[in-house]
Amino acid sequence: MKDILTIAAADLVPDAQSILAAQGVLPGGNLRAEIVAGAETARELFVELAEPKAIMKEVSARDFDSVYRGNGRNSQPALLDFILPRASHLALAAATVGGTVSRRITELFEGGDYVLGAMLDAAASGGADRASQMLEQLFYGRLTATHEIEPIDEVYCYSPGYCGWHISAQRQLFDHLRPEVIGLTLRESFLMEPLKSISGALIAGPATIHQFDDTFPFCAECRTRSCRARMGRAEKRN
Amino acid sequence: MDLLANLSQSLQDGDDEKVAALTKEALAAGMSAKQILDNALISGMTVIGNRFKAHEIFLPDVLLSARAMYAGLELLKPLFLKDDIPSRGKVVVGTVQGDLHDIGKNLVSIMLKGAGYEVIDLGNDVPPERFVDTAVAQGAAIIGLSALLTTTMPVMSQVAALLKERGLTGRIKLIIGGAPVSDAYAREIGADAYGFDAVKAVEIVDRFLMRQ
Ligand code: B1M
Repeated sequence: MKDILTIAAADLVPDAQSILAAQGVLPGGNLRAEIVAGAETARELFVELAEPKAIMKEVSARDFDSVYRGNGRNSQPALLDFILPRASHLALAAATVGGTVSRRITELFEGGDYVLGAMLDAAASGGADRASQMLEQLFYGRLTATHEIEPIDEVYCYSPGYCGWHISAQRQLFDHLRPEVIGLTLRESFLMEPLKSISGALIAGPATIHQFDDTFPFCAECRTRSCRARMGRAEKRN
Repeated sequence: MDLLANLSQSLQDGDDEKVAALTKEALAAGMSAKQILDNALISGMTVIGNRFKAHEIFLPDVLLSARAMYAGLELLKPLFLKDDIPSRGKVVVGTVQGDLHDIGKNLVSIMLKGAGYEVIDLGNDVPPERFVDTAVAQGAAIIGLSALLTTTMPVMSQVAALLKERGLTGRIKLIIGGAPVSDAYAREIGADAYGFDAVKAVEIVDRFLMRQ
């Protein structure tokens, strides 16, 4: 089953605090009015310009495996090697906030409005990220509605390019999911167009399978460390 | 506060209108474009760069000051051209072929312009030949490359190889940056330096161009 979803931009827009945080602004920092206003304007622009769309397809473990293996360039071992054997349900997904917002970011930079350009960029990146969280919730909702998942089970999105899953597996993911129908295309460098887009695997299973140590060799090179924040949030919830 | 100190402070405050007004006032008072650039605009931007490095201010503060810097520079530029005063140096920047990530490259470009350099920004998805051809044609001493994907990093090494092939290694310095890039990778491909962030990129360019 394949779902094609049109999402309201207002449901994805990050709050002003997150937009500022993406610029390295710490909470409680002494900010000029123009900067605070910039974050609000960026939110308004995002709601006006973003055209978010998503696609999701549940897949069997076997089909998923061929996508995951890609052309054999994953790290040995990669994180999903440990998670997949314990997963209960799998889906492939992709989402984009569209190309219009990226074009406006370029225009803002070219026109010298760097502050708003950088804020809108952060809003669009945050919006694409939130789309993956929305897909997690949607898949979770589908599974619980059909009683296929225990109430404590969790769904998380893992993306090619992260945690030892080689980015070149984007090719197999695209071949299987066909996100071209929502306007997404893949370049030779495995980058998606429009830029503010995400792709990944939605993996459902017991909450414990999504808990892991950050001691893989690739963790040392990771500047994001978003897995730690995510686990922290999950711990608080449970 | 004297006029140039006032101008420098307005730049640090990110007040582009005041910077434009005070630049006009300084010119009307008979100050040279070079004096205004060195002693107010660049010195103001240097303070901003240092405060950013010391975590006293945030990126949006830097961007506001950069915009104010341009407001002044735009007024000075025709005078530099008229008096044939050379720029501080030319830098060709761009995001490498296959890659569309340009926010980091844009920040580097803004900071370099803010430091008074002439920046030729080739945008994103730029093939290796275009970097080298442009640097040669424009007489640029530095090429700055940005890449955000491991799959596009090899293009950086192609630019280094092309410089070598054309006997330009060392004469045109190569600086690389972006999330997956490192100091070790810069050494491996024969680039002259790795810039961790936009402020570092300016420091490197300062270092290279001062040495010439
Ligand atoms: C010339 O001299 C110099 C000197 C200094 C230079 C320089 C040149 N160039 C840069 N610098 C330096 O100075 C700048 C200013 O200080 C800095 O520039 P940066 O560009 O690095 O920094 C910017 C100001 C802000 N930084 C950024 O905007 C990038 C931040 C991270 C977290 C990131 C973000 C935000 C996003 N992403 Co994604 N993303 C990541 C990034 C991880 C990271 N920590 O960097 C990266 C780039 N992404 C990655 C991936 C995999 C992906 N992302 C994707 C999506 C996204 C979002 C849309 C959610 C969002 C927007 C991206 C964007 N920039 O528009 C996907 C691809 C999107 C696509 N279109 O194909 C996807 C493929 C994931 C997926 N499967 O969906 C990784 C690439 C890994 C790889 N193997 O290549 C990644 C490194 C994350 C990771 N794994 O750690 C310095 O690097």
